[in-house]
Amino acid sequence: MLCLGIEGTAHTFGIGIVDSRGKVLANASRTYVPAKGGIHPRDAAQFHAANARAVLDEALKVAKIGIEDINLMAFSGGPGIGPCLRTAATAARALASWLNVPIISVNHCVAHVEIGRLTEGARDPVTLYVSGGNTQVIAFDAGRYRVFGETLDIPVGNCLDVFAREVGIPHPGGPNVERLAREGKRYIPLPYVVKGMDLSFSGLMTEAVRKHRAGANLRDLCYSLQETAFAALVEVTERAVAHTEKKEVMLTGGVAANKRLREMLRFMAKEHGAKFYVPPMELCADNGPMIGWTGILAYKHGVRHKLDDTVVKQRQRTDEIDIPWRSG
Amino acid sequence: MVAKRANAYLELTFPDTRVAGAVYRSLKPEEVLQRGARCETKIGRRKNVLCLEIEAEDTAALRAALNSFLRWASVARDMIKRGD
Repeated sequence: MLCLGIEGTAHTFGIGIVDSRGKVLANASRTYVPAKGGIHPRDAAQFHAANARAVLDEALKVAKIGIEDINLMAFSGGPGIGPCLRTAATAARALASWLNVPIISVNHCVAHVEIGRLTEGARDPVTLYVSGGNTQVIAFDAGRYRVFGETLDIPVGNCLDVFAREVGIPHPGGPNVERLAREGKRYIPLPYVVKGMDLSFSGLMTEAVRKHRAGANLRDLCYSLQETAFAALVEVTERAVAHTEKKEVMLTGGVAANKRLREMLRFMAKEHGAKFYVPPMELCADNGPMIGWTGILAYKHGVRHKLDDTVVKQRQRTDEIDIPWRSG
Repeated sequence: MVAKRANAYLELTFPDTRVAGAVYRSLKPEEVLQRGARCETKIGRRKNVLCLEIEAEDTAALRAALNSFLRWASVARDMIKRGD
């Protein structure tokens, strides 16, 4: 079976082609980069619509197959930015209708976990999923992926990107903050907000910007922002590891590129005798193969969706989805 | 129910009924999200012609709905057209 997965929750429009053994035959994508400011939903959706066919052609060419070879369609049904989700969903429905093949709506966060389990061989990890759009600590229990902790306001990737934008650090914000942080020498105290198992980054971001405007050294601020945010993430993840007694920790999402975060998590995992995994970066960032693979898992285990079931859900939660392909 | 102040009716003609049918089925679920909003859209098909009827509270909502549905019809058509 060959599944074509379409990812379109935010700024990336991606198509992946995956077979039922888990081999990724193609991973094609285009990413919308605004001229200034953040992602404008209408503009991002327009970008996806304009580039969808080119991404499809690229994926088919790389996979060396024709569109008629596809047996299953999958797409990112949520969570995400409404206009972007609906554009990707429409593209997927059109192909499913044209080819007369089944279609599966996939949860974006679940897909991030599943592609990591596939590529890394992780069996049952506690996953820290961190990106511009999401920050969650996820682990499987009682038939679903449970959210053991999450941001109460903005995701950590958004915190880094908005801070970068406000203080004049050029795009891409997160990687440039990381680069400057490596040159920081002094820790500047910033709000550290962990509430139980949940996190908050909006006050941290606001205070970091305020301190910059008051004259604080930018490199020291970048260093301090990372140390504060990442320590909070590691604290919550560690608490989930201790509670669940799972022996694997996985980091994924766009912010997984950050080497300092990887270092801190690796250290924590080692202290708990847990293995630490990070999927390849092209599969940590938003991508089509994760949607395709999760679609295959769902379909093989009896999940069936009619076209009427494929209405997108902007605020779909990770823990709303039954996971029949896992036991326990 | 939307208080009608602005409305539009469009017919999009496709090369054949198979293409029109695929585009119709790809757009039809998008009617659901419109209910209770500032506009409502009804999507129908007559052979190779797709029919869109949009009723909106104001012209801004009408324009937004028109842009959205035309974008989706365009991407649906693009995805299934024969490659070059």
